[in-house]
Amino acid sequence: MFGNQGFSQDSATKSYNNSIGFRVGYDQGYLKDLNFSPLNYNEGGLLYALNYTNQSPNEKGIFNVAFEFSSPQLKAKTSGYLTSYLTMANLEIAYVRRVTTKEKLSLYLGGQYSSYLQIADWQDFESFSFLASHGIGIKGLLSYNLDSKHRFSSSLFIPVFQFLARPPYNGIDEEVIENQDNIEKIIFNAKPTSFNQYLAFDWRINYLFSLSKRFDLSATYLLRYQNLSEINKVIHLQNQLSVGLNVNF
Amino acid sequence: MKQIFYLIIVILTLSSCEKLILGEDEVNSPENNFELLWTDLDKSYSNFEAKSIDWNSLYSIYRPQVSSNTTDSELWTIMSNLIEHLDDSHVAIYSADGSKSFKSGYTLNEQSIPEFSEDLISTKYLESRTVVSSEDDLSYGKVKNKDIGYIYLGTEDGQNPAVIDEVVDVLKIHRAIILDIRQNTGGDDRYAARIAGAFADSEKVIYSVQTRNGVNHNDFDEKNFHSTKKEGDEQFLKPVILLTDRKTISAGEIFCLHMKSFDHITQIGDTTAGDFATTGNRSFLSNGWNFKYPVQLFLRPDGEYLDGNGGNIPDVYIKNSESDILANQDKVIEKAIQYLFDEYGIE
Repeated sequence: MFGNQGFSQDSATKSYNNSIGFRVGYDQGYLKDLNFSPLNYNEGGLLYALNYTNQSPNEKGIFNVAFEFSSPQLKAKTSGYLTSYLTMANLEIAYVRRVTTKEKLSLYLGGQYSSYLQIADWQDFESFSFLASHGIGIKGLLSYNLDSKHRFSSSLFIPVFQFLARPPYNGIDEEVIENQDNIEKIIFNAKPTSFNQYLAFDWRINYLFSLSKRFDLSATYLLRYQNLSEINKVIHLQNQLSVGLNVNF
Repeated sequence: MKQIFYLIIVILTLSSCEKLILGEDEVNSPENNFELLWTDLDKSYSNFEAKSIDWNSLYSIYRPQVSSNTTDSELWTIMSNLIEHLDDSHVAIYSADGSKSFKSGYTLNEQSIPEFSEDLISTKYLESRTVVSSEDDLSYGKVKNKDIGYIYLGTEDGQNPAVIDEVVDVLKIHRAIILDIRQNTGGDDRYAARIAGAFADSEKVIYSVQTRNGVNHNDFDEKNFHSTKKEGDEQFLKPVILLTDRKTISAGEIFCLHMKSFDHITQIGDTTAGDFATTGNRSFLSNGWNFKYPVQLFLRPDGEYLDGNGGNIPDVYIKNSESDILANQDKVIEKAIQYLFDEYGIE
């Protein structure tokens, strides 16, 4: 979600329209997934992200593709023996267009396709659960150029229409058993959903420091919230703090 | 700048309030751990009706035995006593570090462990034995001085069940095969079906599976029918003796079910465990203990429950005692060899 946009230079100094960035950081959060466990879990672990951004001339539109991966530990407060692992991957493809500019502040609005997957696993899948969502949503981006070296931006993504895949009532059924060696079939066997069942948002604050025309440093904070209302509900909150480097070209 | 900084501080503070986000965590108390176990089984265990279990009445017996003063050891005993009523060795509870476990209805299974010896089979009854290294517990050979092949299948877990075709190809020169699945620990029903396919004489529906999908004890999804299927280029259709015991369980019993549907198969030994249904995920208690149980209902084509009906009953009943094994005698395989001679004149 524009976590690491390569549009650090203002219009007067900008030389490049494309940027590729890499970030590394730490993910901290909380998870309750009743399909996995009745307990509350704290999560913590490293995250990695790749990002490609293209901006049109005069920054009228920004196209962004981002991929994030993390594999934090899940720890239950009550017992160390229940420590589990969460694997998360998130692919985003977004386009936003500038709708207004006021001095150093610009507002962009647009849409995003995202494909998100999280798999919780205890002791080599003795117990597991997953949540996969694939779909589109609205995205807003607020960009603030402090000066030619510093830029802040904040973006908000709200999924609107999603195809959601979850384990069946009891975690497994004949379909899961039949396809246990074919995970794509399980995570893409999704049902359409929207705000009636799945409420989520990604809110991100990004700071860019321009080292040169070619390179930027970035720092990003992400707050991701997911709330799935079903018989085996899921509540998941993530705080992610990461730093990275952009190469503009 | 200041406003952004304050905003971040406020958000970080709010988002670090676990209780606010997730709600109260489960309390680690004897009462709550009992409630978690009983409720989880109530909502998801698949065989209450198959086994005619009144789960609510068991609650009224065992719940009053738990109080805040109940020790871990007492709670373990109470929970073990509760699940023992299910008489289902797929229902098991494990201590936090995995060092202790209790399986429901496991007494007969456990008793059968010293009533079988793979070493005795190898040393006394086989001329040779080849271990199939790609699989977890598959080996084969030839019975001493007889025109009979021998296969031992100790589990239904493995990487390549199609390897059975090569085993059958080696043993097809013999007039019969003894297929030994005593102490078979189960595994993957698909693995069992593939192995059985090497012996299939026909294709027929042998059982159906439904998965529990709701809070009521009789909430299940649609029936999914499972059939026998011929696998490989060639099937072994000469007489096959299937050896079973009380610890032949789960996917091992599904394998037995496949095999018994073929005309050239005779089951000799003891009744199998009678625990067919597939287990679900491990479930967790606040104290770190975990437990598992079946979430599926297995039915014969006529609708009769497979779980709770005594397992696969052998065509010829015989079992070893521990003293037989200690005296270097496996009466079960000897009976199989004798049966092949009596019924088919094979020696």
